[in-house]
Amino acid sequence: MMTSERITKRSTGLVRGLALSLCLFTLAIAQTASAPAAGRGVIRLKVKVKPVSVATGLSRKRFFLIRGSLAENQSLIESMKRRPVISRDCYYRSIGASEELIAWLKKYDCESVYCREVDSTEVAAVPEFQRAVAAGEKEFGNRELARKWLTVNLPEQIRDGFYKQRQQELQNLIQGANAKVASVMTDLKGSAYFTDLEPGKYLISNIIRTEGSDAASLWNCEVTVVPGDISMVMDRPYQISNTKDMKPQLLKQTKCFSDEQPLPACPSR
Amino acid sequence: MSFAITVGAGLLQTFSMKRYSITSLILALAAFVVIAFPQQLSGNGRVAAQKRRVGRPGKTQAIKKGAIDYSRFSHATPKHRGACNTCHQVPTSNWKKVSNFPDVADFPGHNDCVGCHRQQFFKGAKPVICSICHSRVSPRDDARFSFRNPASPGQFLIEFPHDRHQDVIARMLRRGPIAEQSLFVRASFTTVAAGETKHYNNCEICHGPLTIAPVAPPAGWPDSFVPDAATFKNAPASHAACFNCHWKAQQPTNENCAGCHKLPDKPAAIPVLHDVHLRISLKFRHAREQHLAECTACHINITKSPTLRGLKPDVPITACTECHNKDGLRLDLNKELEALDNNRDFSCAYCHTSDVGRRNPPPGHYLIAGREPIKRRDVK
Repeated sequence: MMTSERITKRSTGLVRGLALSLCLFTLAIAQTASAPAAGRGVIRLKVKVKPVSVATGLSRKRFFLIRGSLAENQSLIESMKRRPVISRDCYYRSIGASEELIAWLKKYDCESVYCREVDSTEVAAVPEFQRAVAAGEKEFGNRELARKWLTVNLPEQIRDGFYKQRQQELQNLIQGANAKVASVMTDLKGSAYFTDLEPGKYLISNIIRTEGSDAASLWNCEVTVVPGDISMVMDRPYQISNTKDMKPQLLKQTKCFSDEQPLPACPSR
Repeated sequence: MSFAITVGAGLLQTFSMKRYSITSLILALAAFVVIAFPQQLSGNGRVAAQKRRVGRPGKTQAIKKGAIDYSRFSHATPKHRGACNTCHQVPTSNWKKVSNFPDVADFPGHNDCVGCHRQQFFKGAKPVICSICHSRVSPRDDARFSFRNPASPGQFLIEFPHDRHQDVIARMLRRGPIAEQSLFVRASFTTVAAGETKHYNNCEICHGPLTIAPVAPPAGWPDSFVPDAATFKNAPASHAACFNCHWKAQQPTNENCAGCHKLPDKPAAIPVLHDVHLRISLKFRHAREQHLAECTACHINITKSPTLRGLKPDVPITACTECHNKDGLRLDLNKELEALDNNRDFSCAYCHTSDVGRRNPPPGHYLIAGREPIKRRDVK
């Protein structure tokens, strides 16, 4: 028994060692020297949305960099504009989601149920959550685990239908135009970097309209990349916005504005 | 988590082994029973299977040059490339004892091996093949290594669409009442109430602070500089971070191991511990209060890569010099470059250990400092 305990201890140590090695690897190559290749350029994107302030921006949204000018990508841009806006609320209503679930998504500003862990109070408040937890409890014999793993017992359309639909439309647009794209996600303050770029004209776009509280924004902004180091763009971000309602200084710095489309009213159930 | 179960023979030596004296008659009888009634002996669950005796213990066989090393298991072996559930049970029957969620927490049973390896199973008093799973090769002891055996090298690359997960589980921080926010629908994660612990977007859902000190590399830490746990962040190393969404329904599910675990073309493609030394600035501590910022503020390319392959959490010097080379604040970079001007052997030590600090500073360092790049050899 004592030997077994020793082995268990040793094994635990080894498990920790392995876990640690995996952990460290992720950061192992952090801070590697990233001197840009000669003749390459960088874009520092900054996305401001209303109400505009110096400190805030559109966070956690993916923007795409498409090779070519506005004129060269005109057909793709037209396709983006033609795409009907399907709001989050309308999507979930269309698949028969409960008003409680729609309210939950709205409360936490979520596109899907994956965006945050559901607590016990919320389970009781949303019928879809109640059913998923009941199924999980039956499967795992543990209500707490069933709550934490709630999404595995949700119907597919509720779980990720909205995300998949948007991804499909995104792919169709990109592939249809045979566009070569790169993408980055904005940080908390609405900043993002496109690095290691060949000089030339590019389009910065969100491709699928970004849904706001009363309108959906579509950006298609032409930017010219010149050779240079990241240090050269730190003080000169390429700023875009969905409004001109901002202080003159900020407005002066804003290079491109979105095409706004009002959110449609959802059809009745 | 890889399903790799390769075990170094050396590890076996770390455990004391008892010698047993059993007559050849008993051995033959045991062998007969195992061969004749494998199903009955293995039972339905792994626990039953693991209690089965594997023959008379004895010395582990020495491996002849050119012979197959049966103390090592490789998923790359053509006959080991079948469907995962041919051998692995998901979840294993022991999961409630060793885990707080359904998991693959044990090795496959004897039946999964003996079909092809009967000869190795009954070779000698202490069949070497047993040492793949068993920490002690003995008929009186069914102790096994924990699964997956942490001492064995990984055999799989993990396929993980980093960008897709960032899109879906993004977290938004709110600053002030909701009525004052621009209500953009997004993949947010939580609303952080005022006064609550600081959270920085979605990265820390998977990459929290390290809680145990990092393991020293084989050659020791450069300059004997020992980074503490707070220097690094961790990364998911078990199914716990995956199964909560991918247990079933959402692909890849628990039945689709190959959806995440990919055999590499070359074993060398799998990262190993000492890769940690590639970190350029070992002295940077993530947990330092002044360094608490959104991850993407420094790791500017981390949202660009769709997968883990080729993903570099690289940080431009501008991320450091925003604070460390500001007039009126600090001029750490300039001071180091000035010191180098006067002494070609100067080792940049503010951020780096000497293995890095003795190299030529990259051009970006000079650019941000507003100086002409020079090479050490040109310093008089």
